[in-house]
Amino acid sequence: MVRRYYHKTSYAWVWKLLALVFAGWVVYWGYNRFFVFDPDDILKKSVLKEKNFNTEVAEVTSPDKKIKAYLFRDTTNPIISISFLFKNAGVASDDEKHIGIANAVAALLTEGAGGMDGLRFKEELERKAIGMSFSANLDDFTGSLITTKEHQDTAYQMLNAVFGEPRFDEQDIRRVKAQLLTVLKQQREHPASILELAAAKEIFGNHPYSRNPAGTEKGIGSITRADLLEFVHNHFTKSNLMVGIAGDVTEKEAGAILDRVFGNLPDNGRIVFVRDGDTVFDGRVKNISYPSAQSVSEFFGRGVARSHPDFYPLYIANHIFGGSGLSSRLSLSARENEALTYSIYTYLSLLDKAPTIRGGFSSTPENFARVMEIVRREWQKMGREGVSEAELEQAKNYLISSYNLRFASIATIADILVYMQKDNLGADFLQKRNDYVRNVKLKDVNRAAKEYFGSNDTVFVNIGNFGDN
Amino acid sequence: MQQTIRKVFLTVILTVGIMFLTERASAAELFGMREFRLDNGLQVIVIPNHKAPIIKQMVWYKAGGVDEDPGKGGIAHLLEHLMFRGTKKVKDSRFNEIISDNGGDSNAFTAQDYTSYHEAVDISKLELAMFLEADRMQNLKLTREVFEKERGIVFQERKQVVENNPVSYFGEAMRRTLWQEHPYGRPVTGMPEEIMKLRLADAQDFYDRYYAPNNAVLVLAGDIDVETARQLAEKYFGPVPAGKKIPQTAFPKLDKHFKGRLEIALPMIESPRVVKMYAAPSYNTDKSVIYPLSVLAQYLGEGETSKLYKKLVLEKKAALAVSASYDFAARSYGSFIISALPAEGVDPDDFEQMLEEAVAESVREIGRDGIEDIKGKMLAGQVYLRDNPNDAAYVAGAMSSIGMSVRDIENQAEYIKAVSYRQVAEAADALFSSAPSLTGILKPKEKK
Repeated sequence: MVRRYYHKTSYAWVWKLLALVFAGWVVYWGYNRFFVFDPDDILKKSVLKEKNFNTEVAEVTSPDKKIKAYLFRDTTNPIISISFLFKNAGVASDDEKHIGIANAVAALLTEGAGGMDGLRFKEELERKAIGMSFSANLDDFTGSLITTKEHQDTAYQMLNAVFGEPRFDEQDIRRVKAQLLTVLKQQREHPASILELAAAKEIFGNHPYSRNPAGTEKGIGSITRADLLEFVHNHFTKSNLMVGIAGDVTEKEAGAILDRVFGNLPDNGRIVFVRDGDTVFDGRVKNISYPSAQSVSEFFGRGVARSHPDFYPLYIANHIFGGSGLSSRLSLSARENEALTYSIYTYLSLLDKAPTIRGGFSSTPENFARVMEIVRREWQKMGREGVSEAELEQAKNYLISSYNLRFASIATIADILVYMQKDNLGADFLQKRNDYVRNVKLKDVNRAAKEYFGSNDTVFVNIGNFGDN
Repeated sequence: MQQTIRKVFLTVILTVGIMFLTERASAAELFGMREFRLDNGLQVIVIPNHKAPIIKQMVWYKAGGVDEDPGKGGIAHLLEHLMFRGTKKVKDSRFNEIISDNGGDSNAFTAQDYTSYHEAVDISKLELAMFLEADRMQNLKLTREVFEKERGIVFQERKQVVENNPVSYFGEAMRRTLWQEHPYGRPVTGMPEEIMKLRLADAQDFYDRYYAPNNAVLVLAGDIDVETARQLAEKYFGPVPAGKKIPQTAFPKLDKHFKGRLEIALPMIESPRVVKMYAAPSYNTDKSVIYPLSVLAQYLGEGETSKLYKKLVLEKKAALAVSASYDFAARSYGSFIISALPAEGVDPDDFEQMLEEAVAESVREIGRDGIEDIKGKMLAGQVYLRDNPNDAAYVAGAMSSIGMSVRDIENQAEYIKAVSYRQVAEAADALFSSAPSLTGILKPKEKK
């Protein structure tokens, strides 16, 4: 007979284990419930809920001259803001002989028009609380007008006169030239602005983007009244104009405003197109010795245009990398964890002919090399590993929920309307934009990360003390 | 964060605010703000603005650089940074992360008279932002590790913002010279050697002394009605216990005969500056002259139609720019500042004389018509202040924090209207003849 010995199986250990797991879960749950803050607890019970916000933009065409514009109607206050842009009329298009002329025109346009000299013109603006300003960036010439409903007629008439009959009185030209030459001096007074100009030279070489946006001594010095008038005639035309109107205006009124303000502009002008940039991103570092308390860095990598299919994926990758303020990877590493710098950031620079990923930081000399090492390490890591699902989620949450914040002032809204046209985003962009962000997939972001952070190198341009002679 | 602002920056904002006051609003208030107080002493200001479903929350503590003990320069600012580094409940520096996960922007700044924390959020996230501000009003938890990190960061901030910028450096030297023993003479960032000596206990001490609902103003500007704001303020800030009696900082009086001159030559400077700074009356020292002085600043040097601009830039061609500004929103003295860029080839010392004469001449020329015209400009466009809730929160918050009543904030247009040209002339005489003042000259140092 075979005796079988059965091992008597006890399941007690299973129960013990289960009890232990359960107890662990209770502790974990309790800890989270009572000791870890969960923002959703508050949001779920919040009496303030999300609201529908009508961001409809109308496409307006003026009845007479068929000038097009985008209109965002907001009747909260009796005020109107108009932003406009003359495409390709910026500093990079300045005539070789008169570098700085776009900037000089911007400074001189409020110095009188028609029968009003500079002083009377400015008196009138102040008396009627009309804000009028012009500026030239590298690509375009831009301007803005803000007025109360009460004084809108005067405002439109004055802006129209600026385009049609700018004064450019000799004494104003002399004074503004002297002011601009002083700006050139002031640019040389602190390291960050010296660096900015040097970095443009290093990155863009012979391309017009390497120009000092304020102009050159020779260029400013050579500008005459005739040059200014020629600039206005060639650059302020209907064919390169884009207009955004925000505020207490109906579509019909907006059409009439367009004819009144911009109707007399010539149809076409003579515009110099700027060639594509040809920056080489090869990992080089240029150090400029300068006796300053902190050394300052600007760094660059290849970017994409606003209209490029990679724009949103790269925008998100950059947000995570260095675009999101104190929560970005760069900020967390260099500032929050190691306390090496006060600010470190990157952004997508959207110059028409040479988009880049651009960043900067400043730090005392003993920390500087370490911060640079962190930027490089994170840059390579972004190229190699991309971002995680959680980071993507977080970035999307911010980009989507923060979108309404940009509608705080009508002047900003008018600017957005102009850029919607410049970047061909369409009149329904404000309704679609959050979906563009929402629809970006992890693989898109990581492909863009690999493409722009991975296969490319950076260029660093630094100023300060580097321990050399 | 975050930013450190000096009084000069506030001046700009306030003068912009004042430029946009208006005539169309005979009875109109500047912002349409409403005020109430919780039992724990928290002052709440609500500025409804329904343009977009967004809101700006600002919490202003009536404590800043002036409240620091001697040798503890920079502690108010360092504490501002530490306020983002965790409380008993919201641990591990999660504040920014939580706000940004919810689409909000948060920041803070420290000034001499106050410290302000603010969030811009979609209206649906306001309660979260309110919870977080109420939480850090009472539950801040400091650790040595984050303290040391933030101390390093504010040290870097000072190097970046002040020492890497010769014009800021000059401004700091001017304030130190004019204000001398008065705490307005100390930089909000603290001096570098002071910063590195600060200790965790100093931050805790400053927090315990000054951070309490009875020493704070909550501003909510945006898509909210007053009743909802009241309920939510009660819900989140109501339970925060009032602090013990808040110590009041006593301000020394300046020597009224002080007329100083400071010349700084720096090798990197290429374009000289001339600045005149006056220790002027403020809302808290002499309310009766603040509107005459505001009109005076506008008359002398706001914009390119002002008297000094006409005389020095357009007629004499001695300057490329000149401006005047006046800040009355201060706990102690206010400040009146005239600054100019002498033209190429004009010696800054000679220019100082010309500026002096131009100011005296302008004061003599103050007349009824001219002043009515100036007032008209100041009153035009008040309605712009109702556009951006962020600006409204800032201006209203800064003014409330120095103790200005809601009535006085809202009725500024009326007060300006009531100013007579004689009052302007008298205020000008008093300011230029007997206020403590400093003339500062920043010029190039000859390179060897």
